[in-house]
Amino acid sequence: MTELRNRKKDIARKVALFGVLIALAFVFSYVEALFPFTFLVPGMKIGLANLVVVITLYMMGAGAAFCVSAVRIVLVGFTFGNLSTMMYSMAGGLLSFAVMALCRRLNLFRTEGVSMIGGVFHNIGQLMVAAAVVENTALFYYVPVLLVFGLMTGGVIGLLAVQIMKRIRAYLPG
Amino acid sequence: MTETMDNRTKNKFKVHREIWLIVIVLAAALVCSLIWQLTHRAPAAWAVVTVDGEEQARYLLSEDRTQVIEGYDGGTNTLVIRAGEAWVTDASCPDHICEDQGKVSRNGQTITCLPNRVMIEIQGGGERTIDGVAE
Repeated sequence: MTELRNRKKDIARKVALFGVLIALAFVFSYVEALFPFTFLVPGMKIGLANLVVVITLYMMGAGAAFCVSAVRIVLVGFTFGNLSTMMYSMAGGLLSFAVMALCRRLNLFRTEGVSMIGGVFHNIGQLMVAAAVVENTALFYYVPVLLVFGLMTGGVIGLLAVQIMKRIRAYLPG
Repeated sequence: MTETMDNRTKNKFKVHREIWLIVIVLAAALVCSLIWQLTHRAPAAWAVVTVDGEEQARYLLSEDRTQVIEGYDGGTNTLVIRAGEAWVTDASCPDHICEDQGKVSRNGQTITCLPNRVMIEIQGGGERTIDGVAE
């Protein structure tokens, strides 16, 4: 009996936690949409929502991180964007998630490095969709800027994630 | 104790790999921008000098120079190329029309001196744009 109750408690905790994480990622996306960084390159973003994904990846595993990332993208796409913006963030988000999960599984980098490569591949994913949609090689003019910018934002997100995880580890299960 | 040492060496390797990651990404960015610049450089533009219908010389518009052109029957024109533009500053003929023809830089533009039978034509370089016509 107690075991069943504990499991129920666990599930309830998880549901609540996922709700919080997705809401947080959602709000980050919204904040980012308020302050667009498009002065350098169209579509350029800091990737604040990636902070939540990185933390989830490290504290709750790849499956949880995938859920947060995918649900956030769909929600944000329907709320603030349209199908085409959703396609862009889907490509960027999923590619970046896949690379980060792989790097974490292979134990290649520290959290900072995983976040960096995630930032880079987020931009690569978006650029690939853009290239397929626009069919214009002029896009590749932006590749160097996007690569370097992805590295930088990913690094900052990674540093933040490490600091945040240090402080919240006690409050999160797993 | 050994475990923490293990973790520390592991972390060192991770940091090394992160540095490699940064280096590789930066190198990729550099290569991409180089490729872009190489493939999108404006084609070289020349000022082609013909005297009496025969090509005498061609000068790159990207290289500044002052050149005296020997025209037909001993006449001379001084061709100046500076900052990607070409013009004539001096002519031995009486009418000096070529000096008034202004600066040329775009594909197909010409400066002509009829008495000396000298023609300077821009070849290659950017196509004549609407801006070019309006200039």
